[in-house]
Amino acid sequence: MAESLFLVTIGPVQEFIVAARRTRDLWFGSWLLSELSREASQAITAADAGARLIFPAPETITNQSPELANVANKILAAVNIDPQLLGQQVEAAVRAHLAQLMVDAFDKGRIDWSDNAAGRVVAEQQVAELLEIYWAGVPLPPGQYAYARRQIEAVIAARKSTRDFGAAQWAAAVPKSSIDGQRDSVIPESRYPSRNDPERSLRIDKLYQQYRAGPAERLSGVDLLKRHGQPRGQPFFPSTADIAARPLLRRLASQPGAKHAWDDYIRELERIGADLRDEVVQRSHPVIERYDGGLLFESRLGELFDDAPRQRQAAQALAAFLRAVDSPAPQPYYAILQADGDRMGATLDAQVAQADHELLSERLSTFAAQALQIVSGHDGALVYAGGDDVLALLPLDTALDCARKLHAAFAEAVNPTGKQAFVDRDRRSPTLSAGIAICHQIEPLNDALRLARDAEHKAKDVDGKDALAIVLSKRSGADVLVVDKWGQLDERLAEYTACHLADELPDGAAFQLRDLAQRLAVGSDAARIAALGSAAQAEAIRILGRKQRQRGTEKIKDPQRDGLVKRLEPSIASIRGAADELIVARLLAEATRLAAGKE
Amino acid sequence: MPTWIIEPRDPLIVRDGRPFGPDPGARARSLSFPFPSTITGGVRNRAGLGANGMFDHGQIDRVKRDVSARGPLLVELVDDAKQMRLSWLAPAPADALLLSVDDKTRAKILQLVPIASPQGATYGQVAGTTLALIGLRAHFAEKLLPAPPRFWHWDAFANWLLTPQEGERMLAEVGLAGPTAEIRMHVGIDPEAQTSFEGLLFQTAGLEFTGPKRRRLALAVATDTTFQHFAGGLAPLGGERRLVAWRQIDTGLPACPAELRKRIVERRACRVVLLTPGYFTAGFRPTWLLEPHAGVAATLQAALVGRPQVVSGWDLAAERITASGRREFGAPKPIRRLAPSGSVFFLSLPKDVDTEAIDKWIDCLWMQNVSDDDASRSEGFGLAALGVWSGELEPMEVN
Repeated sequence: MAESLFLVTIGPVQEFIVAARRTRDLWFGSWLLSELSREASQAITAADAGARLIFPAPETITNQSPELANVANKILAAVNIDPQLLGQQVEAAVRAHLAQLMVDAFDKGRIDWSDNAAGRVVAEQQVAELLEIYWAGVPLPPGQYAYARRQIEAVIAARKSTRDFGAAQWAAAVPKSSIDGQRDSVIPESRYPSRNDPERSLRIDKLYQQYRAGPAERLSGVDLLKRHGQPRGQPFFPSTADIAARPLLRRLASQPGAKHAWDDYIRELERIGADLRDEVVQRSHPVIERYDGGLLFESRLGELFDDAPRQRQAAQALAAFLRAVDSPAPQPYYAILQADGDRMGATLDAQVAQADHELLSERLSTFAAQALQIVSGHDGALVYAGGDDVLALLPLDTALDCARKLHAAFAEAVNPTGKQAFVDRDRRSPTLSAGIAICHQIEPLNDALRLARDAEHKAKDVDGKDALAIVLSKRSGADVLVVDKWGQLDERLAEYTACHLADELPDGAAFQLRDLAQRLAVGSDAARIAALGSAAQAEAIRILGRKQRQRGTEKIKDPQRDGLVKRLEPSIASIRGAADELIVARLLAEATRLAAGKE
Repeated sequence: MPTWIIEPRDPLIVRDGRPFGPDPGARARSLSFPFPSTITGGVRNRAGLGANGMFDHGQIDRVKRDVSARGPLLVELVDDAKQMRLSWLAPAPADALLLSVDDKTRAKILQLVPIASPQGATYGQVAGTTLALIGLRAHFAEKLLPAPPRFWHWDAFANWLLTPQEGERMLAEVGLAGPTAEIRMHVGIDPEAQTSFEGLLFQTAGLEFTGPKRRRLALAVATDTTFQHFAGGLAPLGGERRLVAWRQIDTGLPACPAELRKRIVERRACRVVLLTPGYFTAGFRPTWLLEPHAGVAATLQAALVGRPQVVSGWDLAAERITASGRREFGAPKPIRRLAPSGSVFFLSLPKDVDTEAIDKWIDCLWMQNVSDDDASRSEGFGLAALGVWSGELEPMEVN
């Protein structure tokens, strides 16, 4: 059989991953897509022993841990069998694998379907119709790889123009999923307690034990698959609260006496009736051991108790613990990093030979493996790293440095020093742009993910890209966005963070500069606003010069604020930009200070 | 047939299917545009008002049976010295692909058309059909425009229906983004202490219809009924009982241009573009649309349909008995999957039918609801406009 190029895509991706309330939903959704893509890759090579995987690189499938989500949802191979036959086989294999994962989740976990047979049927139907699998094949004559690749991309795009969905056969007059609103809840309404139910606590507990659903959460079959899915390796994925608490956890790890204080705290929580079975996670910390970092946040303690008096007691116990370890409460913020290669499509288009495309895939595979190491090394949790995409949750104090390392690793992985360089037709190398969303740990996860994606888009809007964007979404006030090229924004933020840590930029400066910019930018008279630029600059310099450091005892010395002052241009926008960057840097510095125990 | 203009005074909240209750951190998210059922529900509510201005529950069966609507369409309102004028907008047609160019105020527009599968290519076809692929005539190197206009000015849309021209355009001439999201944080206030209640914090996301430079957007809906006890004015609509202004105008929905009729008759082929989401019992594929109308039955050659939208809602008339034996009204409606507005169906018409029959067929479909069942058509799902199509599959050129 003549050689063909074969392409299969598995979706939905973005909508499916973003439909997440808990980090487990997010992580399992990512893992599931990666696992099904891995299955598709293996089905290709199983059906055709002579098949060559082009993307992802074969080592992505064979060498790396199957518990890592690292296989992109688009698989390209050169094959020697009929693509029509192969397409049907691959699709059948992927659907069968999903069905098996569903059975594992529904039958080997905690869900008791014994008196909910109808719900089980609906849940199965919902999972069965989840996937969108598209595949195509085109002839691959010798020396025609680039043409064949463009052709197959065009065919698959044309096929995707028709999204052939059917009607929802299971649709009934029941509440819809709290997570996406697209599917019926399969948990009977009778399982939910009413507001005045005398056994409310008991029923809430039972609901969680059986379905992993909160008292206000309605879950579909697809949601239950995310909550109860059993991935290989059973890795632990932390909660947003645990990530937010990590600067403090790192500090506690080396603090004498902290373990004793923690044990007292846990004993007190148990004494007042907390059920901590679900607060245990699969990792060990020298002080808090296997407990979730969420126990360090007063707002999360509320979930342990139904009544206000015990909530108050728990909050007092937490305050006593923090006093004992001489620490302020941890910041409730964490970072979501979403990064993606720039000019990857153009770089791929510029590769004429199949061998070049295979080599580029191999280098991207190397980057994905490095991404896992880098994120872990920064105390973060990698959700996904495949192809040129990375999604990770990070503590505030390490987020910027982690992003910088990923950026550098991407450049080195794609174009290692002294080896064949991959560039687009304009001779430009691919780069990595990243968006970071800094969010409150109780912010709904899907909203936080959307912020991270928006931040990434902002980075991608920068001319020539190779950019970083950070959005800080505090629960009070409007979001703060800072965006610029790599080597600019990250340098400035690192510098401002260092200044904050050295107490060279007192807290008020950032907010005074922002206030100044806001007051002067009022109105729609652009000429007047422009004319105020010089005055604003002078006032900003005066504010920075007037500010004192070392808790108000010593004036800032010129050399230490020179970098900042020099960057202030005679424009209100420049001052607003500096203020926003200082606000972000201040938060990063606070986390760093907490981790180091120097607050 | 009267047309009503509904101008939201406050950000309009039209929620998706996610439950929204008095739970800490709850969020009411609005859809990006109201479904027809929401607006038709508003129309039926107005039609069922009694002389006292209150809705008469005894009218539920009558208004559901007798009151139908077409729309909503987005309109822009312009008040001049004498009267209010309006300009129509249409949802962006899915067969127009907008690409980025260096000048950010412009975009390059390409048309997606039914194409012949390239020699030797195979692909997983839509089960049980022989629908054609839909793609571009040629390979392109530009990036997709990140945020193309979601609504097209009617002139640009009408031109696209009649003579879809590829090339660069000013974005401002093509259309606009439409209503924007507006987020509000709400707290429960203890009236005695004048402080917020612990945990009673929730967020709503509404649709802001008044845009930059005081651009006024509104919804237009055509209905076949008059309201006995409502002549217009402020009334609540959607979530949180946000206020909208209702006013009746004489302008009807846009008519089918004569040249468009002529071209459809000549080619015995056309495009059907959905102006509101359509409900089809087979999912993405229409049935009623393909049944004979005026004696002419069309054949579906290709379907340009994105991922489904999902509508449910709350059925106020549904009766249920609670666990404690109490009789209560109201229940969630079953979901329906919808072909999104902007979807395009490519139809061929029989060659042997006469001109007059095709002309009548056009009348049966132009600005009519083409969903599969009576209830969905009555609610306004599947409002259709027609456009030209050559009827031929074009070759896919890959350079």
